[in-house]
Amino acid sequence: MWIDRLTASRTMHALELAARFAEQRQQVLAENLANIDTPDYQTRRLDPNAFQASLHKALAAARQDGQRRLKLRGNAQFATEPDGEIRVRPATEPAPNVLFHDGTNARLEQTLTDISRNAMSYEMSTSLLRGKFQNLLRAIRGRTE
Amino acid sequence: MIRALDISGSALTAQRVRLDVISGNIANAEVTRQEDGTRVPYRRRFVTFMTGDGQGGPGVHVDEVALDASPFREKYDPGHADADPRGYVQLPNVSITMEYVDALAASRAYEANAAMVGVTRTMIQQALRLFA
Amino acid sequence: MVDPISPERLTPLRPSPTPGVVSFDRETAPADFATQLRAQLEQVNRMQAEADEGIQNLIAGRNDNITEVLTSARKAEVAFSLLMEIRNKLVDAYTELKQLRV
Repeated sequence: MWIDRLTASRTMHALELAARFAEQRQQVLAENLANIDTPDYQTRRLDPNAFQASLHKALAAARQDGQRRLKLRGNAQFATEPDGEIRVRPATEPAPNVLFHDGTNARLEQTLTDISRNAMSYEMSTSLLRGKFQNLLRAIRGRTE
Repeated sequence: MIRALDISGSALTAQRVRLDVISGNIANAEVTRQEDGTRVPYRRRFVTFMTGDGQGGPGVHVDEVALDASPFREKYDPGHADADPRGYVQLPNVSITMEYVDALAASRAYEANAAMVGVTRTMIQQALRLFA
Repeated sequence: MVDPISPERLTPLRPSPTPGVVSFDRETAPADFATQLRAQLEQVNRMQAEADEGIQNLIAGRNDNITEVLTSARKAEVAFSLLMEIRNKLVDAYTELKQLRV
């Protein structure tokens, strides 16, 4: 059916995936922050750079094959379900050289920075996605507002 | 993403308990008698955090509020009502300085998790704007 | 008997660039409105494709220049809006013409 081709676009799919990833990462970061004072807690890591690399590969492949939907290849940290859902398996961070006296390697500043970056990434993806939807609606209605 | 809110919420609760215990330690730092009048000084309490929200979900919770087994302080003060025959008083094993440092760490963690709640809430609102 | 005029035998009326010389060469004939419009449409398509590529590079971590990407996306959006307004005006003009009592 051609109606679902309306929202079938590589860019929209990539934005959706990026937003979903950031949402999943938010939970991992919340857990890390909550356990900042838990002795012997190992922080878990969901690497956004690795995700972006996967996204870039999927975009390039789809562009080459003329596909409108991306096939995201998972890595050690996340897997893609058949319905497109992203399932994350956060890796435990490698222990740094300096361990705090209670055995945790959680660093408050690093976690706060990660949270900032993740929030920014989510806002960017959803903002651009909303813009795409608005463009479609505008074109459908034939009105410019 | 709502689960992230629950996780941050569990941290707020846990750090609050920790601050309460620290307040109790500071308030009782010079207390030389138990509630029933026996001449045993107040013993310092401390919290143990454990991962998980205590009900099988993610987050953090206070596993137990334990008594600090380290020895009491001794001070030479023969005029004190609870001084022993040698003139020494047994005082609680509480160091005010350590408690202050602990309180600072607890409030830093508390504020960071409170800020996180705000961040997650903003993200949820952005998601809702995709629709409205 | 006069041959009936059939539509296929009619050629469109077009002003000649050089008087006295009839030419149907694409290059020398002046661009009419339809051709210009089509060219603008293609340009807007190009702008949107470029904006899309910029967005893809941005979220895939290939391009850190947020300002550049967002500006080009907005420009493409504005260009599309302009094209759509032109279309709307044309439709309005056509509707008005249709209603003229001749």
